[in-house]
Amino acid sequence: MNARECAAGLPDSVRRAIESDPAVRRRREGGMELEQILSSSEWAAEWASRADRLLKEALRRIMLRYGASAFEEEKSEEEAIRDGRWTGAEWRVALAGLRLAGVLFAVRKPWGDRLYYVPADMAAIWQRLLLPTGAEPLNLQETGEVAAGAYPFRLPLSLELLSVWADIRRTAVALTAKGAVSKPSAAKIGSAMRLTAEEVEAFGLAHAHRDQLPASVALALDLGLRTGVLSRREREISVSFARADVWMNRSVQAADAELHRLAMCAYAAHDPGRLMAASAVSGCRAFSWYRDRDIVRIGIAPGAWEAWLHLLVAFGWAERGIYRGEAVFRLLTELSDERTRTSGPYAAATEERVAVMPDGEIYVPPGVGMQVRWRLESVCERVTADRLFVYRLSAPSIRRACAGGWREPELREYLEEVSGSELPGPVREALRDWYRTNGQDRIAESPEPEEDSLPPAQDFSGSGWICAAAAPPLDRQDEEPVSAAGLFPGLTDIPPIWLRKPGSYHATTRRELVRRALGWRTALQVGEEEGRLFVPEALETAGGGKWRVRGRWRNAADGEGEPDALPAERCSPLMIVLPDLERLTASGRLEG
Amino acid sequence: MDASLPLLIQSDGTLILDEQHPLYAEALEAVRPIAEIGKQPGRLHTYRMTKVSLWNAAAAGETADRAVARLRSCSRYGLPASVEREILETMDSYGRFRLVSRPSGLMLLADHPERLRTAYAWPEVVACFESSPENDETGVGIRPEKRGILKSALAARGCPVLDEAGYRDGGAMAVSMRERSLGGKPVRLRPYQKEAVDAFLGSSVDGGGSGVVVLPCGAGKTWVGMSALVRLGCETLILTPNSVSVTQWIRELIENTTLTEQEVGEYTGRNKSVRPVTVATYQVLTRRAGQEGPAHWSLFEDRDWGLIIYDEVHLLPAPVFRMTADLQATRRLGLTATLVREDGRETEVFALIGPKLYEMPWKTGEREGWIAEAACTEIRVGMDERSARRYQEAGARARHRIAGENPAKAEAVRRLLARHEGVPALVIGQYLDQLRRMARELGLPLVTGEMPHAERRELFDRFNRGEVRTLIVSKVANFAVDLPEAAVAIQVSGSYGSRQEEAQRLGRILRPKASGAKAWFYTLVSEGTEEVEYARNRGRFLVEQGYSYAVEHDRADEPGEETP
Repeated sequence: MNARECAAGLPDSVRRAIESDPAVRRRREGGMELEQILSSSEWAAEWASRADRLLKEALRRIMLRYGASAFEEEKSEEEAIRDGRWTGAEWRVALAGLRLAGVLFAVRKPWGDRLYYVPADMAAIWQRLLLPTGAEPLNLQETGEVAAGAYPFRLPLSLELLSVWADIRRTAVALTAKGAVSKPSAAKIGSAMRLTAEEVEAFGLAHAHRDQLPASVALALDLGLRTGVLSRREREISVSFARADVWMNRSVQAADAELHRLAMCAYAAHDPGRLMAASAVSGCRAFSWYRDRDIVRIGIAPGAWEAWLHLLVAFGWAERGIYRGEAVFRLLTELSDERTRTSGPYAAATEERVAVMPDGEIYVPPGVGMQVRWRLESVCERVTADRLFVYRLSAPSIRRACAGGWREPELREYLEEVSGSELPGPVREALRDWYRTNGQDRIAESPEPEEDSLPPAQDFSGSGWICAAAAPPLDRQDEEPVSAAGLFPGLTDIPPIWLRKPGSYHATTRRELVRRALGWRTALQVGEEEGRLFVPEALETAGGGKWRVRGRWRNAADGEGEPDALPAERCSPLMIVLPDLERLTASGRLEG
Repeated sequence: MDASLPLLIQSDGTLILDEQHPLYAEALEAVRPIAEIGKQPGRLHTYRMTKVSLWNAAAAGETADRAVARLRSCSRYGLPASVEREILETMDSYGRFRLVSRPSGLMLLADHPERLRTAYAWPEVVACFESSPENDETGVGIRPEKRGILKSALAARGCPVLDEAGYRDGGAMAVSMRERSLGGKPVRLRPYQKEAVDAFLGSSVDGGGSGVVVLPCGAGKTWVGMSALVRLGCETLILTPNSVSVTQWIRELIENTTLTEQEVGEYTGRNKSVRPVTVATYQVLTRRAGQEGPAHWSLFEDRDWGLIIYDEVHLLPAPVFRMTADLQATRRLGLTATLVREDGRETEVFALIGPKLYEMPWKTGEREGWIAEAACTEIRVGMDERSARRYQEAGARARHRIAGENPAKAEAVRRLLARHEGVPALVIGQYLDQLRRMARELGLPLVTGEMPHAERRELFDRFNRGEVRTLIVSKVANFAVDLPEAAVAIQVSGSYGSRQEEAQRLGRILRPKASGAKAWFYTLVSEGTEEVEYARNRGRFLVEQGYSYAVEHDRADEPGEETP
């Protein structure tokens, strides 16, 4: 689920709290919807620049540990405590704070456990803001020393898929009664792809009917369904013309960036390492070499990094090399949305023209957009799918064009428009002959089936064919209001002074303070010295009515500290230390 | 990416070069040494880089690093890593194995013992060794009769052999070029023909080696062969693709060299005389005698040939390859307009005939005036109602002929001849009835295969002297014609399927004209018939060869309407 969808399902109490934040309020007053705000990188940047250190630290931890997977509040609290840098109270408060900021979303399992998650599409934004790699590309001299790896040539995934989908436009993929792709269909699609089943399998994606559907074909169908270019019916998968038209209305580079975003959300979201790898790598500039270690150092597991980079190479988006014995890589296309209009052969900014040759072949250089290619696929035969695509006009292709609603003058004008010049004489003559042979009268009245004339969705996030493992069960948002009492049950039952300043109490009272702190998993201030905190872990009875509390001292710098066991007499003066509720509820967003 | 550069490199080694780009010439310098032209329709020309083209480059002294650097410098989207690797590996493989002649006999030398040990794992290669190489040896004795087989086998394994083992001299023969031809014209080689012969003979003291000379149609490949023969002064076997070429070779040899008819033999289906210079067809050599293999194999042994010339080497049939493998001690000269073979056996040409030694690009020839610039035009001719009905009602086989014999074509021919009034023209057709009718209607002389040789010769001579401006010739007759002044060819009917035939017909009119005029090649096509589609395929071939190709519709109001 993406941020927009998550925001749309927010319970009123949380929505109100989020909207009370000045940065959100200002945008709302400017006419933005909350869904729009919570999925925008500008708002995220502003939030990150002002947010409390504790919240940002918590979000970093979430990104590295859970990625965009849903995690249980309680379990995550245990893990945070185990790490030694968090108290349970701090963790719970941070989660609540992130939720009230619109960064984190919560759902409840049917049996009541609360799960939190970061929307997958925001993961890359948060990674760049909170876990920037700071990686610098190799300079020109260093670049000269890079030995590029030996990889077979790959088309950028957008073009690989365009060819597959164009073939499906011609012949829909037949499904068996059990909903599987028929073997001949799968084999035909697979044989036309450079991307191999092994490469996709190595990434470990799970899909149905694995025994008869190569993983590469499953991926092509999956992304087709997710983008909306393909749609699934009872017995076939076919092209959805209106949605395909929207998809194709972009540069090749923009399509690849979008596919990367989709792949990241669909295939990496469940694995924090892969998600971080995906988002970190998309922040790199295309055509510059980077050291692997400069990316991995933000906390990405080496295995996850390798898996994602392997996939990027297979998708034609990256290549790898060696610089002075060190692994390096470079992107072959911009994968960041912001940079898709800059340099590179497939960039929109360098829109090129096709060239129609007198022998009826049409040369399509890399800088030609998706829409032109998609249309050429409907009127020509594809001869070569390489850096330069080559198409050929032929009698059969014109028969198909006729059936698709292209009339001769229209086609001639279109080819002249996209080539920027008059058609060569032999091509003009050929078109005339072929159209005459086919008979204009046989042209279909309705060019292409209009089964989906509804305005197509701009946001391509349909469900696909591949099931990402451990996808979060995001069907029911947690409706319980976030409150101090909810975070610290019984908070109103204790004297407020226990929380305000250290006091010297009777041993029984001291024991009660310790018991409360243990229950809330929070720290105690022992003594008058501010910041000298003790995190209790267990209350032990020593016999004769005596007790002691076992725990660890907290180091102000990094939170970790020495273990210790304090007898009752040492626990004075004593105060329960709760995370800075004031700061987190400054805008009154914490209820109760 | 640098959009200002003219070369696009595909991952399979296809190079696409923009002829209209300001840096075209520089890029061509990068491309030409390592790739063969595939097609050149319009401004984007396609070159193919193959193992053989890269070996050829290496054999010509090009280095892989230089080739890569040059490609990089003019490539718009960079050089794919896979292509760079292929260039480096393939070019570096040339010369790792060398064949040399030692007092002890023929030796195969490797640049490293490991390489020889690797080769020892290949059975077809081992079969050529006289012994097994020891671990640290870089040389092994080769059975002399296996020289060609070894080269072929190693080339097939991606290890081309540099053959430095030398050649036998062959039977000596006193021959020189004439000062003037028998027809009285000065006999002089054009500069590129001389360069080609020099490249073939090389600078070594033993008189060069073997290899292929690539010249465009109409550029006079025969002259290169004749000059090589003269300079080596040895008995020579010339192999050609058909008997028409045999006739042409013999005529050229007698016309321009001091060889006499007694010294030049024809070895074809109809005549089997073996003389110091013998011209044979590939076909006769491959003819089999029952189970006993090629019946005429002995031709190779009948004389002490010092040179074998393979005309149109891209058409060399597979059995002749096998024979050629046994002739590696004889110098071999391949002549062709293209190294690209339909059967993809370029590797065998490289291994058994030799590397490309010289090439003159077609455009250079045209620019320098060595071949005439040709304009190809398809003329669409309508059918009268009766013919159209006949065509519609006929079966598939008959349709072809009805379309070909469209009576309206005669008037179209008349109009074209009027358009080129005074220019020597040939009207070429497949159907004799049609040609006879046309000859009658247009009042033009007709030459067919049935015509007695002397009569035919007489008409051709008159044509060459300018006494007859137009000849109608049948398909069979036109193959045997050498009519250099013909500047217009009008094809009224034909098989329309064979690209080879098309190239040969066009080649007839590509000889440079004394007037410097360009050449016109017309094909008449009956509108609305299957001829249109056939013509399109043929037209595509011509366009891909780089000729201009236009389609016109025959119009009755063209000049010529009033021509009697």
